[in-house]
Amino acid sequence: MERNISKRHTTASTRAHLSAARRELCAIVRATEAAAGAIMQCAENVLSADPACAESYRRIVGQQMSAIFESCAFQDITGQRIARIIAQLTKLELQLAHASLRLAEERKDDGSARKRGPLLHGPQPQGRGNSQAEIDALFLASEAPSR
Amino acid sequence: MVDMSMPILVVDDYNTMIRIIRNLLRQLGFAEIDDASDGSAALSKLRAKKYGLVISDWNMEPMTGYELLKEVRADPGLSRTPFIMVTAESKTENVIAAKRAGVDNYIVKPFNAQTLKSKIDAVFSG
Repeated sequence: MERNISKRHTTASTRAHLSAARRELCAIVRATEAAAGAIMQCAENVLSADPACAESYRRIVGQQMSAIFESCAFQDITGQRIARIIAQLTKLELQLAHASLRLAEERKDDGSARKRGPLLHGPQPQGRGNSQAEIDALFLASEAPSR
Repeated sequence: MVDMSMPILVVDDYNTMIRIIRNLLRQLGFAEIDDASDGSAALSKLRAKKYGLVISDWNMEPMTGYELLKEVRADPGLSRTPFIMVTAESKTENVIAAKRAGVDNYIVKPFNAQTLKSKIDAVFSG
């Protein structure tokens, strides 16, 4: 009875942490996308401005540079969101550690962890995966089909 | 010698990345640049218009860049279209799989205009 209540509490709490983290991550994706869009728009405005009229060109460049600085404010907000996610994940990690200890007591791990699709690993952490130079060497060394 | 007037198809599911590549290509002097948001959309465009180069991301849905590459190489009308993979997938198995599937060059994200230029030059000088 006590164990069931504890399990239900852990599940609800885990869901709440994951849900909060998901909301923060969605907000970060939106904020970074909007900022990148705004910054690139400024760059495109500068690139398409006519430099023939120096005064007007200077004004446009100045305005667009200010807008770029403004858009970079997203870094502050996303930094705060990421800090909150780290806090949520830390709580979740502790809960999972406790839950896994409990599960280990109840049954053996069947080793059926879900695996990602073949050849999809996503960006690698610093120092893992290959650099462009390593990829170039691999590319030259590996076999190409005849076409 | 690279033909600067050739149409280029950029395939990526992130509009931001499409804009980055489009602007880099414009800086390099290419004028005709189209885009598609996944492999199947790209395949439709490739079958409707002749492109001089495809620059594609790997990880997209529903059709990945790797699947697009294999479709392109299997299609007699498209099989000789130069194809550059631009991706965050930097593991050795990815590079080897892409090369075996017939990719002409491989760029790992993040990259700069110089890397893009050197890979395009390499594709057309080889």
